[in-house]
Amino acid sequence: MQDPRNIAASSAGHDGSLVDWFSTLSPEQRLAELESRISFFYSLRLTDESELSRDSRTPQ
Amino acid sequence: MNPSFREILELLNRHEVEYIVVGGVAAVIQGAPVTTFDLDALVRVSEDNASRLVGALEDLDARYREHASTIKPSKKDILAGGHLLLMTRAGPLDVLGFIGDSERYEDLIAVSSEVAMTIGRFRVLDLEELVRQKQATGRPKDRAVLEILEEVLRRRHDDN
Repeated sequence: MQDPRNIAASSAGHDGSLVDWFSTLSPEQRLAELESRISFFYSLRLTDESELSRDSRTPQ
Repeated sequence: MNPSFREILELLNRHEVEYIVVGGVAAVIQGAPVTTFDLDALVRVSEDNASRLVGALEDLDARYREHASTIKPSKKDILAGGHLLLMTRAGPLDVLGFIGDSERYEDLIAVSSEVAMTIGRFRVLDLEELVRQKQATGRPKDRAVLEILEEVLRRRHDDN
């Protein structure tokens, strides 16, 4: 299964219209959209706290 | 759980914590349609800021993420200047004393900008710097995000 972290990125890589659409949103709308997307992933149980616990990467 | 980065940011602001949003959430705010599951906050490592941050983390009921920990982060932990990977009642929060090549809040404030939202004003790492940071890591998992960041940056330059 594709890592949900890469879905938006890979979609935009194939279709720049996603980038265009996102640019029309305000910073706050972009953040709200991200939160909505994360809630969706959580609802599908594509990620959970145990996964985040394993994710001890350097953030940058 | 429904994560709310805005709630975390609002509480950091309410406690007057000095921080810069970096990482994936910064990329999103800067216009990159990428997905991230945690909020990365590069904080000023100082006595005063650590005290304010402890207050904010208390309000957020923050605990270390590792092994569903019940351990709360302390002021001493923050002053150590490393990375604190936390779970809060509003979602995952990474409190960072540095990013990249040991770059601290003071080093990066000049390449960040203030963003205003209904929850308040806060600083976000600039798009050019986000690109530079991702390029520097060279990690495979960053390549897809880097591609998007570079595209957003290209389009921004085209528009200007």
